[in-house]
Amino acid sequence: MTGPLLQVDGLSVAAGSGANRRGVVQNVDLRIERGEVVSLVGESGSGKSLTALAIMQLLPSGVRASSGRIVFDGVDLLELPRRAMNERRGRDIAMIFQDPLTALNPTIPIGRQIYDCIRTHADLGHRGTLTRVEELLALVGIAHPHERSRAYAHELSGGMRQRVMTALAIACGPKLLIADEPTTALDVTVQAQIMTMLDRIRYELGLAVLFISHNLDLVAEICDRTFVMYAGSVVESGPVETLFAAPRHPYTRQLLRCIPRLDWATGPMPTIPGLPPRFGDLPAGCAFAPRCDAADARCSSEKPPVWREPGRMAACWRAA
Amino acid sequence: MTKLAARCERLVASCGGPAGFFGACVIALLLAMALGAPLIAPQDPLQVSIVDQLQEPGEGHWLGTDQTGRDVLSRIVWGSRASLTVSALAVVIGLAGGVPIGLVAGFFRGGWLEQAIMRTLEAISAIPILIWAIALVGIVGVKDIQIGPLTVTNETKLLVMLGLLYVPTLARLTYTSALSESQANYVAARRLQGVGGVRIMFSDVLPNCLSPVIVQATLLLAIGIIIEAAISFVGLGVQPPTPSWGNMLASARDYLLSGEWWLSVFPGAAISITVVGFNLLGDGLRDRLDPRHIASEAGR
Amino acid sequence: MDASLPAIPLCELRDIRKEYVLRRGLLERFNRTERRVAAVDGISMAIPRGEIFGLVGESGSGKSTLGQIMVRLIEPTSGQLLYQGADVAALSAAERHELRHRVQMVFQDTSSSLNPRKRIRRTLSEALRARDADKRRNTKAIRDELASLMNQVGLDAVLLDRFPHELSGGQRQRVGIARALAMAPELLVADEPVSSLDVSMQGQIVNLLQDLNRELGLTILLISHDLAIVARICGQIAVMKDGKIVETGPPSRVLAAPVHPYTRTLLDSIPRGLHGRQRRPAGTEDANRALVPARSFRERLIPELKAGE
Repeated sequence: MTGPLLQVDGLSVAAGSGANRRGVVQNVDLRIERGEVVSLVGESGSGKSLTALAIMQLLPSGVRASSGRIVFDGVDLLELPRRAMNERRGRDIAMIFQDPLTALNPTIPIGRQIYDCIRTHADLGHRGTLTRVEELLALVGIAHPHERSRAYAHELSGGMRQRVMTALAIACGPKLLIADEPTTALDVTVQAQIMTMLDRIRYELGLAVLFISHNLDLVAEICDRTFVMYAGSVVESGPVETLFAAPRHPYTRQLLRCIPRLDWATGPMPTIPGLPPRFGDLPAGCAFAPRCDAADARCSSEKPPVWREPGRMAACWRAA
Repeated sequence: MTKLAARCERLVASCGGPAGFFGACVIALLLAMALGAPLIAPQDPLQVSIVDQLQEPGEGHWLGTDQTGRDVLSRIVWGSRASLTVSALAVVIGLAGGVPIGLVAGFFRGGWLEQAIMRTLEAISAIPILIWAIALVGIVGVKDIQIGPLTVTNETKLLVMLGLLYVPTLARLTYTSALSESQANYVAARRLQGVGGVRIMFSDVLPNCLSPVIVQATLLLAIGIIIEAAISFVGLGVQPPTPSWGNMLASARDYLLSGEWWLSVFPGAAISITVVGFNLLGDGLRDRLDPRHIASEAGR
Repeated sequence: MDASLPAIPLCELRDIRKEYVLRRGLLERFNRTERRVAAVDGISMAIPRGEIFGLVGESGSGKSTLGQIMVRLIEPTSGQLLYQGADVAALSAAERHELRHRVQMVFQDTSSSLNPRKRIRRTLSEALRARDADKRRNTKAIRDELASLMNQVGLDAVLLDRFPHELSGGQRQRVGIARALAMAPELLVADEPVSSLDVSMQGQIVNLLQDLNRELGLTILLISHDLAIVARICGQIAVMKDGKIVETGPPSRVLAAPVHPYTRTLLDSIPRGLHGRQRRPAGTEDANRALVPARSFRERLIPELKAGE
């Protein structure tokens, strides 16, 4: 029971086979302690969603973890046979997604879906399970849980569906909740409510949360530590306050500058010129070098070393 | 990789994989047989010879002879003409009729026109094609019709009928695609340019509806072969002595149990292989035409 | 601006309503009263020429519907749409057709805004030909205009021969803007132009719009849910909720000192990250203090969870 809840070492994920094989996640290290909120931040093509799917062992067909270890509660998930992993999934690690509509069965009332989920993993008896369903719905902030449990997914708003999906995920009391862009498709007012809800359940259930997002400001509101990904690798990580106040990697620094804020600045909005590399089409040297404002010749030809401090790292020549 | 090898790989890929390529080869073979029948068939398919009746496959007659001494191989080669003509032209008629109807219904939606079209098509497609075919042939008859100088042969009647029966399926397929493509922003952008509806329909929406239609057309080619064979089998299609795989099977009916296996096996095999070929090509095309857009988006 | 002569707004909406009739079951058809939903519920606003006007709202507010009414993709159920003082409904068909070119739109979803089967060259040259039928014959003139359009939106001419799926989201959005510019519009309605783009690319499109406004005098209606972007480049904004406008004014006033509670709610919901309060404009003492890390969310645990509706 000691040691981190989740320790990912050197995870690499590759897609395709034979001549088309491309590395989409390279050598990722992650660590999540019990009860911690850790965020995985990156833009499209950074590999953050694939990393999460690899942890859940839910990678799409043709995509496979090619190396590394994913040690959850002392067990390497990559070594587990499928049945053992199926048991863990849902019970110990759960995941919520960006689009709750496709994650919920449209033909079954939501209460029933949660009921079935609980029944699969625990035996609380019929009454006991029903009570638990209503407790869960209340925990995720749904008013009138008894009536609402009869509703169908399409009768609910986006925010409500997200709450239901969360209830489904935490129904069996997992130790780790992976949230993959849970609020991206929601309005900003609903987003704030969902963030509040997530923090509440984290507090009440003692969950650890891996929060995946592209929204740095959102992440800074609830997370303890952040991992920043670019082109399939982690380029920087550390406690959220220090990362935001004094980023060590140029990508983090430039990205923070780009976030639109109500700061009444005038003049053109900062951007990062160019495009991120296509999946698996990495240049020699640092993947960010073509777009970096602090790059030099060394950056384009050699892979940068990893600078480390206790609890922090950055993959850049200039990090120190 | 040598240029030839690279070109071969591209060819296979364009058929959607090795299975699709195999299907394409089968069809190419069929086409060659049908077009080159006079050159390929070793003997005259109509040549009767009482002496050579019911000969087993062997020298002189590689696939044997039938009950009137006609060479089975030659009849199969010539029979491919009937199958291919009926099947291909029926699909052409189906496309020519079905695609514009579906396009119009899907693009100019929300009115009585759309409802009228779709409900009529649904009514027609409620009855299976084969039943329709038999019923219509029963009504129209198997004799050739004289319209002025034109002789409408039985084959022509069959393929026109089949083509019309394909219209609902192809129309519905086009309609479904047209419905969703018409909502796309690029159509709205064209409207904003002041371009007229009909023009947008043909130049913007139509090309994006064709993928599923092409796949379905390939599968309908397969169905056409079977229907032609079935209709000829019951005596309502190609009339003897003109060979057709269907009527060859019909005349082999009496010999199923008496040991002259070559009379039924070879026409049956011809039908099966051809149908499988079309189906494989259709599946291969479907894999190639549809997920390509999804695959290229997977990079995001 | 000359205060004595009020300029005619480029585009004006007077009491625009757009209703949709809900179709329910068979039995309800016999009931005379139909159920109507108003996507746009009595909106009046005026967009001055040369302005970047921001329309802010969440999903379901009707802002996209309003944008589509303004470009006349949708007809309003009632109300007047005036263009340069003239009621569009009163114009002849020929005049209305001519008006088409002057108002263009840029869409949110970049993957469906370009015909996937047409190369960029064809998409853009079709737009050019639609504007000027004579151009149909002059291929050299078209080629020159294509080059100038691509240059204007900051794209390499190499991309002309690509298909949309070979371009990134940001590049596709620029092509969408180029297509709109090909019509030489006076008013551009940009419906959530950057929502589907990465944060690091959003600035490219926003800056482009600002440049076009400045250099070409292009009037822009920017529809967005992102208050920060709207605050940055818009001269005037309107906040929409449930089909109505709840507040209008310059962003410096509306967002710094909102009057309507909904505006206040919107502002409160924006994630603040570590930068503490965002609402105070730059130049005050707070901006000069060292960044104070916000208390961890855990400590600010909201006592009463806002229950779902």
